[in-house]
Amino acid sequence: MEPLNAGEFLQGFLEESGEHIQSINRDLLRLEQITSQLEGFALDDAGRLAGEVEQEELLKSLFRSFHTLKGLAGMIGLSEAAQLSHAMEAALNKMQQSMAAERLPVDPVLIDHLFGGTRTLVATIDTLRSPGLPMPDIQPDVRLLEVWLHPGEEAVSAVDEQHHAGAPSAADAAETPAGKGGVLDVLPELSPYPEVVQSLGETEQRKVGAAAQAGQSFALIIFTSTAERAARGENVDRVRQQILEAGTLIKAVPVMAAGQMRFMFLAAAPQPWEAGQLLADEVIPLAAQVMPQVGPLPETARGHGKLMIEPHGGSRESGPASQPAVVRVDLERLDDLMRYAGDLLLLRSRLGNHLAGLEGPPTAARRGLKQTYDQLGRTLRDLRRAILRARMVPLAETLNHMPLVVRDLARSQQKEVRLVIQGDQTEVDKVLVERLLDPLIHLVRNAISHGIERPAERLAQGKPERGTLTLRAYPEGDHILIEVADDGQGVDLARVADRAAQLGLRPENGPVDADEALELITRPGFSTRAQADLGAGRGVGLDVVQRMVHSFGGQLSMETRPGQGTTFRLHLPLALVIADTVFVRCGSERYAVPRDSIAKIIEIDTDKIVMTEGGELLPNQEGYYVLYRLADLLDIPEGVDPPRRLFGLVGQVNTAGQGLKRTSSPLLVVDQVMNLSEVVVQTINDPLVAQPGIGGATQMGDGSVVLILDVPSLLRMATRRLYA
Amino acid sequence: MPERSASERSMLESLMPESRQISGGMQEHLILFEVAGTTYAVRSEQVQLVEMVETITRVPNAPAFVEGVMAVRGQVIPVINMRKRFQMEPAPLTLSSRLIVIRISGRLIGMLVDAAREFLRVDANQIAPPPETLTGPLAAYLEGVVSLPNRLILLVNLPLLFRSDEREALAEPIPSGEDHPFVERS
Repeated sequence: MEPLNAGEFLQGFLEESGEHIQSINRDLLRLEQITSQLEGFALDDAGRLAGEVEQEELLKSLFRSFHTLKGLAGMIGLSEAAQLSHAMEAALNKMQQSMAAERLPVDPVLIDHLFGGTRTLVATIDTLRSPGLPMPDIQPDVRLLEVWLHPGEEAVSAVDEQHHAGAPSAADAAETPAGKGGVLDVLPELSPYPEVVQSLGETEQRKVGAAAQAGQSFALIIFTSTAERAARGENVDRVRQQILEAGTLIKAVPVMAAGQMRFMFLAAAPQPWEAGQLLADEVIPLAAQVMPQVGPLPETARGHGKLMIEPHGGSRESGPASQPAVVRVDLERLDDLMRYAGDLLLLRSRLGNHLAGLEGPPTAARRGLKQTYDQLGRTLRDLRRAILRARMVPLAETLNHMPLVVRDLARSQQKEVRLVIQGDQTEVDKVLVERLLDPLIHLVRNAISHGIERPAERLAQGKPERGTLTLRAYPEGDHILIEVADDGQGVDLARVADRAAQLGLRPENGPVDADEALELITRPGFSTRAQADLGAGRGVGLDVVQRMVHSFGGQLSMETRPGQGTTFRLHLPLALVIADTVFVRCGSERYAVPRDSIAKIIEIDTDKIVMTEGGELLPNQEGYYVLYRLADLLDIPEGVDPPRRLFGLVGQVNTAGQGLKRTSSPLLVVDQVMNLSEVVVQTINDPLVAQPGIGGATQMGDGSVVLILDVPSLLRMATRRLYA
Repeated sequence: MPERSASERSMLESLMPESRQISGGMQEHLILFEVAGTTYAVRSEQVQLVEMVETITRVPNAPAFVEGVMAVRGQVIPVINMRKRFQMEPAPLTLSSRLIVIRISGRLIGMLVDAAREFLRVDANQIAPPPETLTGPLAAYLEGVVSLPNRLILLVNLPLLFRSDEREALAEPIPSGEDHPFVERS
């Protein structure tokens, strides 16, 4: 935790970059090896499965290595290395995308470029090692990579028809997600099929545009090939022929799912497509929208309380400069910042200890020190808050999916629904935005299927025939609330009570209130609906929502009024999946300990440890600590260097329990206390590895996993073991 | 509408087994792996992905054959050392070591194997029940054998191998009675 001086920093850089170069060379060699082998058995399934999967992993790993090197080089000011790493990272990214979207094979030419670039990269880093060395010229390598990324004009025309590896068209490379959105603008109903959208190259996009302009009908035709079908002579070529007889085939996308090969054909024809005319699992007609150029959104569409239906695909970004200046930052870098802020906090608390240890009468200097110390605390809190804020993104990312969900469902259930989205600019942690999508879709489906009535029914009750579904998000303290509210029939509490009695969940048949009803309807398998329907039914759904919300550390609540509607409310803590932890080392292993569970950390004076029959004791002011060595509790093998010092974590709650006098408290002994870190907590569910004493796990930047200790349960078990 | 390009055609054909193979029987798609010199197979639909082995974090007090946990696609999953699971001598990791991630009744489990680089398509009737002469700790976990010229492949019964109550079923030194997993030290 000492401040690093420049020399140590440089040493650290050289060591770390050395490790990355090693892994890059290893990965490149392996990649070259499989890529050359793949040529030989390209048609064989073995190659596809073992080889391609490994290729993808290698590309990913290489990408990570160059990405990290870029960051490291940037920090130390080695701009040549950063620039070269960046060029290689960009090329790898392109290769990964081409592989995933168009199933292009890995281009051996790229591997050569990467080998060359890595050699030059090593030479740039060597200039730091031996200051006499000249800085190599990185431009030739950068140019080669750029040419590979953006090949010349002749290459472009060849690519359109051939999809040759290594020669993606310049237009493709320049294409932003907004460009892909181009297809979604014309065929918005294609958005549930990202595998199709992503596979559409420039040529196909042009075809879509032309067919739409010509007023043709589009359809997505899905065909799963099975052995039985093949035996009947029903194969992909037949489907393809049938499509070609009726119209134009824009793109065929093979998808491997659950061991089955499925093909998705995007096709257009002068006549509407009919399911009967084709040999297919499904024929999904796609409505085309011939749109003029999509400009920036009118300002009113963003306000609160407006129906927001946006053109898909980030057309927002294409608007002119009315937006705040935005810099994209890697989550990883923010995590680094958070780590440093944590280190600062720890330093501050040490400073506090030193201050407390100062003796003698208070002086002006000491008062000044104290004031600065307090100020430092406030500034650090602000810093942490600012970093947390930088992780936040508007909830709009998730809410923008809803208009489509609502439309599809309302249509299939013959209901009229108006969707109102409020507070879509409310910010939540990046991690959360993605994970909220599923629970929200469940709730929206639930509201349309079970809440909002059919138009005739609504009219009969004197309600507007069109129901309103409101999605509202707003911050409240350190929580955010997300509401899904409908103006439908409300939850029938009497029926819930009946059903609960039927299932034997409640002893008698009395009335239930909203809270109890929610508790009941979120049980797996609970459904008051006689017939399961497509959107929500069979009791699946709410229990899933409940579980997900809990896994974020949040709560679900419900309000309902007969005939007036139901509101589900998600209460989510802002920093939910993130826990403040202290990293400790014990032997050769490290663990994360939630900060909440630690009252204080002390350095143990080993001379003062008293050995008794009951174990090791350490006297303190109130009495004594009972020592529990983490290494013994967790069977940790000894590290290479035996610890010179020992540290003790005092549990927040006194869990000593029976048999122990109040004057004693347990002390968890570790070899080293490393740093404070905020981590994203992941649960460990599998019975093979779920252990009392282990509260979860977190993934480090390098992909490794660190276990999070559950201190209370660890100490409980330890004391039981000792005094059983 | 232009004709399908040659590369597209070959790609489709390679992905379309039935167009190349006229066969009456049900097909089984197997992923083969090696453990201690023996070739085993699992059904490909049970396999989520095959990964290079990265850092595995030891989990204290887990059964001996549990190598630890690893993060796979954002999830923390157990990694089983198949050599230990089959009660064979453990061996150090090599470049060919692989992690086969399988999904069994909702659980994701990583199997650490010596190598995994083959895919095999066989007729269902090529899978024979395991011979009765086969004994040892493994025999109980086999679903069948596939005999190919010069090669014997053992098809593993994954659900049996990874029963969720296997901790209890195993002869591992797991303390009973108490709900804590700590083994008494002497």
